[in-house]
Amino acid sequence: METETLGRFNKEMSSFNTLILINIVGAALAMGFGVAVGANAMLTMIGERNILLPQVAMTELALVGFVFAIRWLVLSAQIFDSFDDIRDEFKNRSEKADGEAVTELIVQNMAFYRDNKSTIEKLKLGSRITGAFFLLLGSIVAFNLLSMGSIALLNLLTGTSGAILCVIIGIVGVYSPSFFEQYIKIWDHRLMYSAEAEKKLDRILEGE
Amino acid sequence: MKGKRTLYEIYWEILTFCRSPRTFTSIIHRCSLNSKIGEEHIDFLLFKGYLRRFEEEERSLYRTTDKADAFLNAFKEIYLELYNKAPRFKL
Repeated sequence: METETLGRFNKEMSSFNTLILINIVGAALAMGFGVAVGANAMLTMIGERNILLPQVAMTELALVGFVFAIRWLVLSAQIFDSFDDIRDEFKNRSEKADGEAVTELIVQNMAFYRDNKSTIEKLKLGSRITGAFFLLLGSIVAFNLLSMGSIALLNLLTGTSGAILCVIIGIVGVYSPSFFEQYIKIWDHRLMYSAEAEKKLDRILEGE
Repeated sequence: MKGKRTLYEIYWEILTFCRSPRTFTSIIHRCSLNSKIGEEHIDFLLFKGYLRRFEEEERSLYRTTDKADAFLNAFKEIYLELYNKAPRFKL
């Protein structure tokens, strides 16, 4: 049973780690792209020596997206850092797959979840909001491209790839909270069961 | 171990750590407890007969007794069950 539980641990930890890494990459891309879109829109206005409404809207949206992306990145990095300690412990403990080592890993993961539940909830919200912003930004970039009529090939290529990147970041941002929800649901289930288990342990401590 | 733990999880941690004789300082360090809380938990476990205190080379040491086995075994079974009972998390 211990070996089976250890295998399950390995898979669950790898999945969660991958999810955090996807969020870190998504947040970093969103940050970088927010700067690029904002700077590009501002440079266009400087080049035209005029205030252009679509560019103003894009700059503002990119700035807001950038702020959310920083928050998303910081939260993801915090979780990654805490989870890294658990992964190190797992590597040390998994060599000795006895009941006590596996139980310690379970206790440790429960403590991690209790400590980080509110951060995971924020991460879920942060990634969803950032995702929504980048979907909106992608739509605006695409709309601008379509409304321009004739456009140089290079501009068309960069604009199209920008819109596609926005949509990809947006989809990652909007979709990844569902995995966090799954993670929260599973660990809440375990915590709920542990509260019931406390009654049993209490009876043993009381010597019944 | 760091992080929020229940009382039972802390008892389990102290008892498994004290399978080999340990000093008070090493217990509170290993279990991330302050000395006041650590003393309360150790006193409780001594009172229950789950821990035994003895002197060796002018040092006061603590060791888990056989009486703690029922608690330790039940804890292990319950936690393995609660972990495996929940659905799997996967991407």
